[in-house]
Amino acid sequence: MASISTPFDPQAPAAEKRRLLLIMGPPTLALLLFFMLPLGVMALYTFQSGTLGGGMTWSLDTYRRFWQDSALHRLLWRSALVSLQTSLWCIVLAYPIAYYLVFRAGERRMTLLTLIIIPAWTSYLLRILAWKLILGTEGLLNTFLLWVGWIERPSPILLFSQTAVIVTLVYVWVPFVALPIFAALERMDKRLLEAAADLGSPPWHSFLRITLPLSLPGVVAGFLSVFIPTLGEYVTPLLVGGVNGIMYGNLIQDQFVRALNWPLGSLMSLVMLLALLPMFLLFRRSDEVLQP
Amino acid sequence: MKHIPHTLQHMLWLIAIALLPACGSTAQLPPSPEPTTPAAAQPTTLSIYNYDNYINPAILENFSQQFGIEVIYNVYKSSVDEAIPEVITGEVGQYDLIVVSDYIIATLRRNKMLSPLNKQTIPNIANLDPLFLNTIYDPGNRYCLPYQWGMLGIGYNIAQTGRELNSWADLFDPAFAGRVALYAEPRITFGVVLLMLGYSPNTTDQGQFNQAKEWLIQHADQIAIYSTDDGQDLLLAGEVDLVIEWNGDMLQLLEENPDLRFVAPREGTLLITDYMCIPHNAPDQPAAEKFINYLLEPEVGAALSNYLRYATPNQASLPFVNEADRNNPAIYPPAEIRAKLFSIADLGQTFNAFIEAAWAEVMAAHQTQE
Repeated sequence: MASISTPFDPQAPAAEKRRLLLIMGPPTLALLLFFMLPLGVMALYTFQSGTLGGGMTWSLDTYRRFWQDSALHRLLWRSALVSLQTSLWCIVLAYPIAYYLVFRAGERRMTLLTLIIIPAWTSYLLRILAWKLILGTEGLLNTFLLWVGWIERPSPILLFSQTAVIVTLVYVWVPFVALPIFAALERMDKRLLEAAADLGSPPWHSFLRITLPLSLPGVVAGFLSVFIPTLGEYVTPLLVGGVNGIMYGNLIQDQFVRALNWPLGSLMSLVMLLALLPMFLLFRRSDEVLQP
Repeated sequence: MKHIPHTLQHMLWLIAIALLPACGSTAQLPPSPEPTTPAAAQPTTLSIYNYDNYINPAILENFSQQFGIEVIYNVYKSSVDEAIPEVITGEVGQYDLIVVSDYIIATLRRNKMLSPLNKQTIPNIANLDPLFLNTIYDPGNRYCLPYQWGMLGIGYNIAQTGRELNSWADLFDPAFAGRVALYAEPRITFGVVLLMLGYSPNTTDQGQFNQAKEWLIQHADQIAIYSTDDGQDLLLAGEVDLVIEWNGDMLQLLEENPDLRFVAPREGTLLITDYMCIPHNAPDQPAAEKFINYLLEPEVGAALSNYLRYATPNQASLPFVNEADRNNPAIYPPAEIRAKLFSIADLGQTFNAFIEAAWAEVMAAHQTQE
């Protein structure tokens, strides 16, 4: 490792340094300005208390309030469970899709892959609203169940529940889990499976011992790419969640927009960010352990 | 590496600048410079910031023609609450006239966001009903004048409830479990429960508020959603059967579905008055005052109320208001309800913080164990 020149290697020729600076400078600056700086401003807000428009003062009251307010902790925990369920369902649904695309789809592979991605081109909001129409009292699902005769009157419980939130989120995120698993499976050396078969390994055994372990980095990447954004989700619970689907992100939004308590909103956001840190460590660790 | 301290210095400056509005919340933006060109030569424009669909478009057209002022009508993205940070921080374009709900005026005034009205240019103030003048929100009407008023009530689908409703307690009838939309605004939802429990919605008794909080937590299964000012749409779509809504929002729907009803409950209800105010940095205050005075003309005020079906605060307009509306108790309530209309009072920062904490508890409590 020591022999590879790093961007700031003092022995690198000046011209190369300049080139690197030219390439790395703008994105670094953008990250500092538009990501690190706002994060710092947000962190500073947490050391104030009060509301926008009501006057703010420097104090640790916001920390005290957050520490004592068990309602906020419960909500964060519930949101984590919703995100966890969503991520796991996404993997269960996306794995067979990716597996089929890599091993069975043959020439149709790219066409099918495109078809999976196309819905993601439409507005996120529109896709969630579509689920509102599907799950509603006079929605598609209720109408169908009535027609089949499984229910006698429209079930009002489909919409405005935690299940509705999870169903909608799973629908939205499945393609984003299928892609990393697809990539991991495709990278796999298929000759390993042939060798296993030659040595008498039955297909399910080969899957468990070869395919599954080799695809785990993709599974972990997929898991995190769902878990992290859905933990702070607020649009989906707002539209299809009702009172039982309320998530931590809804309360953050409520603090910023309605209650105008920016200090508490900032602190809640930072706590969520900190809660996600172990996830990043898990990701790095899994990359080291699972990478062939 | 030696450049870093320099960069750091710059960053600290940037942070300091970014924090300015937070630290000095009373700091004011400098007044916008007066236009240097003579107004007569320039076509003037009037920029209004208001709720979506909260104007009779014909009024804007007639005003434009009569005064030669072009009107730009901007709307709040979702609710007026979202507009407060925008107005306070001056993030969005400058408006000449904003229409805001009464409870917001305290915040705007505290932050010196409003410009005093030049009342000599608004003689039509004389047309207004004294009930809506000199209120707790703006003593002496230094900054604002009433636009429309409305009251909260229960909107419901009688085909689903099977009976007429007349009490806030009906929202918590077990027969309607899971079919009720309350309001995602603590002062409104707590206010309704406080009224039901026999208290004032403006109580500063923590015990009474805690009772309301416990009531909401215990009746969690009753509530489908805390709606964000779209309860009437949920009712029309059949997602819920009972909603807390403003009469104006509901009345527009009653014609679409004959099963829908609106009632102002017998315990009394919340009154909301929307006001016209001029932001401190309005580019053209005289144009805004011209518009306010125009809107307070008897027939113009009636044209607004006849279109929106909210009640007019303009006494002189009443004879021009459609007779059916004038006699509709859901718009102009009978004396016994009118005596029990409560404005939402500003209860102060400390008590607001208490309410917010109670509200967070209510929000987190509604989680069914699956």
